[in-house]
Amino acid sequence: MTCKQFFKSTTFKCIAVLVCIALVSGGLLAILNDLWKVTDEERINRAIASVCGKDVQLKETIALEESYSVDSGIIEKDIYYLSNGAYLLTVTGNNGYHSGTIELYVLAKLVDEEYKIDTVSISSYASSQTLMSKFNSASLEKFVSNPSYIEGGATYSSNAVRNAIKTANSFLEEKMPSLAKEA
Amino acid sequence: MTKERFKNIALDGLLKNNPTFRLVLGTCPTLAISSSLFNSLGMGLSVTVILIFSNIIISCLRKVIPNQVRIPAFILIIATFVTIIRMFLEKYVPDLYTSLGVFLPLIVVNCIILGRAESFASKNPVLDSAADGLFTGLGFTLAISLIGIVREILGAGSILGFKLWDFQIGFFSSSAGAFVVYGLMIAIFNSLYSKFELNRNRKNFKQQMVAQLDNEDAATADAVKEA
Repeated sequence: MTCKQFFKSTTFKCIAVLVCIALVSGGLLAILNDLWKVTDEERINRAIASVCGKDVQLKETIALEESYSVDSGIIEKDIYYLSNGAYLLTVTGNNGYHSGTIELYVLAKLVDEEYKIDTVSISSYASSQTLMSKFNSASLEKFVSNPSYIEGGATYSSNAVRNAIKTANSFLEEKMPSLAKEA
Repeated sequence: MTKERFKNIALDGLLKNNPTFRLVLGTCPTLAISSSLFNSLGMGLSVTVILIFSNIIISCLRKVIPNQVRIPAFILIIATFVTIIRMFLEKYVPDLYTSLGVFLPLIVVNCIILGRAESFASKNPVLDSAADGLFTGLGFTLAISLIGIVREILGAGSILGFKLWDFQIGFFSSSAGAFVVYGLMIAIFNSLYSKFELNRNRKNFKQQMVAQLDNEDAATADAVKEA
């Protein structure tokens, strides 16, 4: 087949049509992605609204000098000090289903001169965690009050949630007092 | 597009070829999402918007896309609109975005959208395809919302999040309950539709017989006059 024959062939037409559709779609999606991008600030405000309600605002962002890592999980993102005096942490728990992770928002409040977990909500999770629909606010409360709680039918994901809460508790005990003083 | 054609397309999408109850397409999101009316409406409206726009574009390009690559081309176009809807929901309706979860990107391979693109939009003009997308989407929305109403009332004792009573049957919130409600809805819908079709056919038959008799009477009268 000569070059001229190739450019007149159906094969070339098929390739050209698919490439054109891909280019136009890609361009359109790039423009809309810029217009409709959810910024980090918006995400944090949504997290605060979901955990504390819409009346609470972000007051200060405390950057961690180094990530806090234990066997059960890790805290590597910034900590947020809120207008109601509470702190919002982002904690990742390990050892979920297929060794996946679950990220929780943990709200910590000062109770009797100690920082304790008040509320948790789910931030994100690895795609391997397929049973996350079982975890609602009521079931997450049970994880906070009972360190051995397991959500029925989601043992491994419960493991990751428990590890995240364990990491948060450990962080609140070890690091929070000094961070709160600096703030 | 004539009024008659528009009426046929509307009835097709809503009743005669209802994608959920008659064609039994898009079963995966129907069963997974219909645990509440809010989620059902959200999924239904998302599918409707994607159907309309993908049908329009596919109809516009129907003479350009070669037959050999029509399916990949359709999927590219549908995936683009699904991504647009995802970005829109994530920005402006985050609660719905979180509720729909993984089933939002799965709309790309929803049989309803690919099926209508292949069987209608690729063979018909733009306006007809847009109307078909609209009414097929509305048919899907209606069906999934009906299932959502039943499952939410029986399974959670609420409607659109507003608590009605304390009585709940957890079975209807589960996947097994979804199958049972879906099956019962299909049975009820098809039973009612069969009666509707029977009555319509009887009415048409009567009208045809009357018209035929009128014609015969007219022919006899003419023959007598000539005689």
